[in-house]
Amino acid sequence: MPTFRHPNRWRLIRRTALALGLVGCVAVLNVLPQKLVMVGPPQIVETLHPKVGVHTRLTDEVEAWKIQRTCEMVRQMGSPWIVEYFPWGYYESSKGRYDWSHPDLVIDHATAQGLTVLARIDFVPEWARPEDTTFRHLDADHYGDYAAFVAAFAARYAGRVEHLIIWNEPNLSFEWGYRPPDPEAYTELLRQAYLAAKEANPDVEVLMAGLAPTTAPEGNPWGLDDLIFLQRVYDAGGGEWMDGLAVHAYGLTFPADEPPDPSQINFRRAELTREVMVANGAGDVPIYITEGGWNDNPRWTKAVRPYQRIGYTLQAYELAESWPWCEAVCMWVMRFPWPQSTHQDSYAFVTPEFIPKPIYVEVGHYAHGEPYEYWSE
Amino acid sequence: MPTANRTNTGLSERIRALPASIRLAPSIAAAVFALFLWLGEPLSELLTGQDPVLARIERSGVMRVGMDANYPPFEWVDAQGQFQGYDVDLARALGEQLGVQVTLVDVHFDGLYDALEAQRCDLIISALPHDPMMTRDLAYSRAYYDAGLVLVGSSGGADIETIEDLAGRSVAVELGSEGHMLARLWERDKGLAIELHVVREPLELVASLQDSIAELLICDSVTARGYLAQDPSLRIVGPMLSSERYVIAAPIEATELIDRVDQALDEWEASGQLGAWEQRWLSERASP
Repeated sequence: MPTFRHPNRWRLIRRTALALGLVGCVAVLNVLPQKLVMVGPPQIVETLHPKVGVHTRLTDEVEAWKIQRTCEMVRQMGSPWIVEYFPWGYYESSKGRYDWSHPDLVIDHATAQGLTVLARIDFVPEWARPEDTTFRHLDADHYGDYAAFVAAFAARYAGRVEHLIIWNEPNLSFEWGYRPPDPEAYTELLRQAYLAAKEANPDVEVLMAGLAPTTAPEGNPWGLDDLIFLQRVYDAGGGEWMDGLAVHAYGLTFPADEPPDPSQINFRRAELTREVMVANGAGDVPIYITEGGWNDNPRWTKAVRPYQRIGYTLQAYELAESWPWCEAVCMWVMRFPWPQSTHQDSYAFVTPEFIPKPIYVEVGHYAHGEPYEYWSE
Repeated sequence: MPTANRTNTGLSERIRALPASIRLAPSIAAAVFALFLWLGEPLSELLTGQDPVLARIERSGVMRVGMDANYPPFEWVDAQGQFQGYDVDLARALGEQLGVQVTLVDVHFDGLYDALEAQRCDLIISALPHDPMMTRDLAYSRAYYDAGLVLVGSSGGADIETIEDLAGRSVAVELGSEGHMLARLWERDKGLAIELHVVREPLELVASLQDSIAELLICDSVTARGYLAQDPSLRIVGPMLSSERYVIAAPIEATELIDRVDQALDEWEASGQLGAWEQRWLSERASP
């Protein structure tokens, strides 16, 4: 019986072995766990200035080690506070079906590092809004759905997340689904979210959304002056539905101590917000600065030089020490997962590659009472 | 069969007797024709696969170029209210090439992409860095300028061929700048020990070379061209340290328009026109 011999038998064997080897490698790689990230033992934030805070941006950060590294660096900077964004639409993609895997990851790492999380909740899932609307569009007949998610969040993270921020900058048309800002409608949203959150976790503090600092007058299609918006929320009875107020305090090109002026945007506009609160009998309600700071992008007209940014930021933290009504100052923003290719990159304290910028270094020195490396008066 | 009836049947009755598909065919054809006339050129573009952005530009005879006129020497508005700069020359030359007028639309840098999406402009020419995250939504031209980081030296630096050659050298950087961050990245990831001299203002960078405080400085290539124009003893040395490629952007469907832009850029590179604009706006304008 003739034996079949392949003309290139050795080549065939080699190729078969190579193919089997590749298949084996792929199989092994699939079976092996991804880079193992342990949450680790609980840490404590060491700081001389407990109001120092920063807004993280872990929403779109998919790698666990980067979430952990970000939280570690916040702690090492001496910041006990973070603000983080939890998009409702990411976690409830169909009504009543929740996927908590990503927020679990963020909150596990943040709390392990000793950080207090202020959780901003918005982003409307597709099922809760009409077609051809943006993720900022929420009609009144879906306020209950939003409130139900807030309640689910409050219950799941009870004891670990005790501050919830209801929506973001509703005084901007963009943030209100490209509709005119509507303080009365927002008040109703706040009311429903407040009641639902309290029922789920009576200890949770519900914060009214941080408003965009703007001087846009009534009738402007793009926005409404934050001080007017806040007054209209109080007029609509909103004071009853908030335990605290989130405030956005950007300095633009002005130093942190630039005096407040209703016709101007600067860091001390927070004091004007406070005046509205006091005038409405809410002097005992705390403020949390959940966004703020300065930008040093050379292409942006509202930017400052990097050394000015450091000086103004340190000045802002220092100023907040003298504000007994202000609990925390969380500057925008710790780090982006990837370059934004806009001036937003120049708000970051740390590069996407985790290289600390001078502002990070100096805030760390401030928080720990150490001599500055770059900054001098 | 009553023949008389058949012969007396009118045209309308005979038409009614036809199958519905044949009977309605003229009406359908007329409706389609009317729709074609109503939709006009957009439909023909759809049917022929023609680039709708280029078609609109050619139809109107106007190309609207979005730019943030606040970034000299690439684009700004002078005291007389006139647009000036490298990108302005480039936009006008492109209009000539396409045989259309150019309207410059001043948009804040962060609003440029939105302006394109909202069809407030047909193109963006605005020292726009290529963004790999946007390539699914936009059509980009080839790069016409690289504004990445470079090394500038006076007497020193002639022997710099690679980044590793910077080990142990004194290099000035502006606090918190891209150059500063890059040097910190090298230090961490490559173990490169550079003697960094950190200054607060860009002008202090050059002074640190002139005063021999540092041997080299790191800045972007646009700033470097300005320094060289001010001080002929300075020169760019070594390799480019990073890349920031300026490109022209158009809507994703503007494939033909971007092809035409690329052709023009190729021609201008071959003819030396790109170099002439660089010389005019990045060097001569910066010279004392």
